Amino acid sequence: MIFHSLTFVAFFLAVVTVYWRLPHRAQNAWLLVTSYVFYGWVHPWFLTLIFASTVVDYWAARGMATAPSRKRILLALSLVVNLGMLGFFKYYNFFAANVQSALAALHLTVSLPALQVVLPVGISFYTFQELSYTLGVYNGRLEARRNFLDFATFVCFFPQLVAGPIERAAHLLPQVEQPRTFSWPLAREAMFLILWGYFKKLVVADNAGVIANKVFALQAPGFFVLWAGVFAFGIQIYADFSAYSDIARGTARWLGFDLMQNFNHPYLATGPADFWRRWHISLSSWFRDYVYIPLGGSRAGRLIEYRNIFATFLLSGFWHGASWNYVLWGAYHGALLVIARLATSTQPAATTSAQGPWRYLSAALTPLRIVGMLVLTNIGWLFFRETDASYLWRELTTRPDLHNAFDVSAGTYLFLFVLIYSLPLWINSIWEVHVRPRRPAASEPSRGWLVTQTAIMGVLFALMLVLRSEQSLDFIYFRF
Amino acid sequence: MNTRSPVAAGLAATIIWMAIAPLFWRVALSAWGPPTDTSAPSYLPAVEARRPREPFDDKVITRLKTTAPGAIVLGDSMAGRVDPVRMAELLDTPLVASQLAPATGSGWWYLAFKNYIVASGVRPKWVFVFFRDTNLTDPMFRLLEPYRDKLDMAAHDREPELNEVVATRLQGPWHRVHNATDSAYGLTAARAWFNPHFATWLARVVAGNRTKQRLLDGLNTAFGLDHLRPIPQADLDAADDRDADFAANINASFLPAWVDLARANHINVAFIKVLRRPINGQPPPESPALQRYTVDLRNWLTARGMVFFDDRDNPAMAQLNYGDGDHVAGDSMTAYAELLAAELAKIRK
Repeated sequence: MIFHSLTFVAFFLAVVTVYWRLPHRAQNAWLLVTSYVFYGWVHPWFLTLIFASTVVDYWAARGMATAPSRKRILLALSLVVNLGMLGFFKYYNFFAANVQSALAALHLTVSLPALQVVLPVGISFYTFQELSYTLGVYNGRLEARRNFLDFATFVCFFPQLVAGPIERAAHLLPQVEQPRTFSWPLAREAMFLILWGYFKKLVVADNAGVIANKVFALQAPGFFVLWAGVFAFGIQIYADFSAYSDIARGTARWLGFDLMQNFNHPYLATGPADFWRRWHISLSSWFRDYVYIPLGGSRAGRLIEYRNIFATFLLSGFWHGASWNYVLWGAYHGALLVIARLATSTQPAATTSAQGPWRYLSAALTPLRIVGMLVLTNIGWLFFRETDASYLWRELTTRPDLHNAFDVSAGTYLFLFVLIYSLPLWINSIWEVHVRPRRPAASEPSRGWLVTQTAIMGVLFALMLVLRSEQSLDFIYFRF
Repeated sequence: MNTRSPVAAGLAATIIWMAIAPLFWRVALSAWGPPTDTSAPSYLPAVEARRPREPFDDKVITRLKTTAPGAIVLGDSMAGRVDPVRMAELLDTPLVASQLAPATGSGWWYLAFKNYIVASGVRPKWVFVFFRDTNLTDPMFRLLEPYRDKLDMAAHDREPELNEVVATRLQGPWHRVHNATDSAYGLTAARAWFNPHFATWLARVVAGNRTKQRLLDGLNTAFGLDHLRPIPQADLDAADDRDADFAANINASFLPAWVDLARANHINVAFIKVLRRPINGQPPPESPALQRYTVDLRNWLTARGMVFFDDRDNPAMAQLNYGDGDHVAGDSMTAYAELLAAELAKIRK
């Protein structure tokens, strides 16, 4: 079932209506059943995988608690099952194709069978979420849960099952286990979040996506058209993915859950490290905690630190899909981070701590740093979007001086088209980061703000009905 | 503090405001839009209320009457794989006419058969319908935007059979929700008014008033088919197993009405499932669901006196040259016509 369908809206209203009439234990059972309905809506066989991995991780964690001497074996079992499932369904065809190509280069012909099944959606997300549990139990940071129903509900909680945020067991499991209360103020905030998510998806992402798809279907776009298309994809992927996260967080709030923030206005980042603190936060923090830090993090000297950053980003790229362009995208961002670390480590201390006159200079340079990072991010999106190496090379070597007048006007037209459709996104980011007054978390919003928010919701809804793209595209991260 | 009442009231007020706000579009249309709603009631009330439409193209009927072809190939660009001159020789008929339109689906094919071929009164020896995978029983394939213009040109003001199938396929009440929302707020008219105005305004900003139309025309040309990449695999995703459930889909497709029409008018129709782009001279793999679907489709059609041929039945088809996507290359069209004619002769025996 997909979020942007009336079927989901009806499903969700039915779930919420029944949910708040039930006691806590029955709520969890209801969530489990409805989450399985949600997940198995199109392909019921997906349920066998998620159920199998739930059972394995539940028993592995229980085993770690009851027989600590077998912890390593049980952790290995959990890793093999989860990563094995992910590897088989997501990476087998990639592996087979590359082995065949490598052997063909040695004049050896081997025909490996191709896997003719669809990739189970969400498998990359829920396997990582489950691993956060078994790794937590293994490290002694979490207790193994006794209640299978609670654990299964944690694994398949439908608002974030298919495309995250990848919740940590330490954050979500206690919420599953504790009784929840309905909050009208939270429900109102959640409604805004859901509507904003739908607007981003249907108006911003889908309209930008149509432009990106058209440009990347061209054989030989000129420089300006190409980069307008890359910009369109950059807007599409952010609006699309953050929309999913917003709808997930909003629907979860209606059920009394608080999911982690997955995006924090990443296109206002001032550098690579800042970008990764703002982009797909649940995944980047997962890789930080379970790959980068176990590799040694920054504890063993600079060279090892750079190696660890690079390896983490290579893996993160590969997580996105079984294709070399994602690996390249990961390598690109790893390299950006290493270069940024090198640059900051060679700056004078006064400039990095931004004191005295450096503070003013640093503030004055912030807009330039944001634009610079946006350009670097978009170069990265070219690696991410272009799956054909020969086209990628052509696109990277397309020169701006070899354009014709039409290329400039067409590129400008497409760029402005996407910019105008994405204006609400930019206004929201600038408002949230630089304008909106900070208020204590516990304080009630002012009446003025509530009226404004209500007015905005009506305007967004009215705009969404007409400006939504006529081609509704799938959420991009479904394919990961 | 009991916050329930004021906040719940606020939430209710928000929902009411959200229901009212889109009425802005009606106000905007009456202030700045076209003077009156000239759009006709849709021939697809299952999905929309009113919409400006392209007129029915009756020139096709005139052309068919004038040329009186002995055979007609019908379909999307897949129908372009036959060399019509060679096919006419092989079928011993003076002319094989093409009634194909790229980027169309079974809705357009059915309407073209009903409203052009049958309505013209010509009775060709053969009508060949070319399709991929499960397209024949998927009424929603290329039915709605952005494919509506072509469908409009083949549709009369009322198409009850078409609408019935679409309504059946959409199942449930959702199409009525869309329809009611559309009617209440005038959304289709607002879209038809806003989109071209926005495109033209933006072109004027970029290129100036005098050359704005040149820019828009140039964009259409720049993204035309001849500038697109040759797609190494297929230009359509492989059929989803959901669509390959023949029993579940046949009665919610145009095929039953189509076959009845063909039989009533004594027109031989051959449904040809084309071979998707071969891999190293071999047919590409098909899912077990699609294989079962093909068997069911073949049985269903032949039991009703229609001819069915699957390109995969003849291994020589996979040896032909392909151009881009699933299209047979120009230098293999004659060979395709010869292979197909031979297969039809075998079937007719």
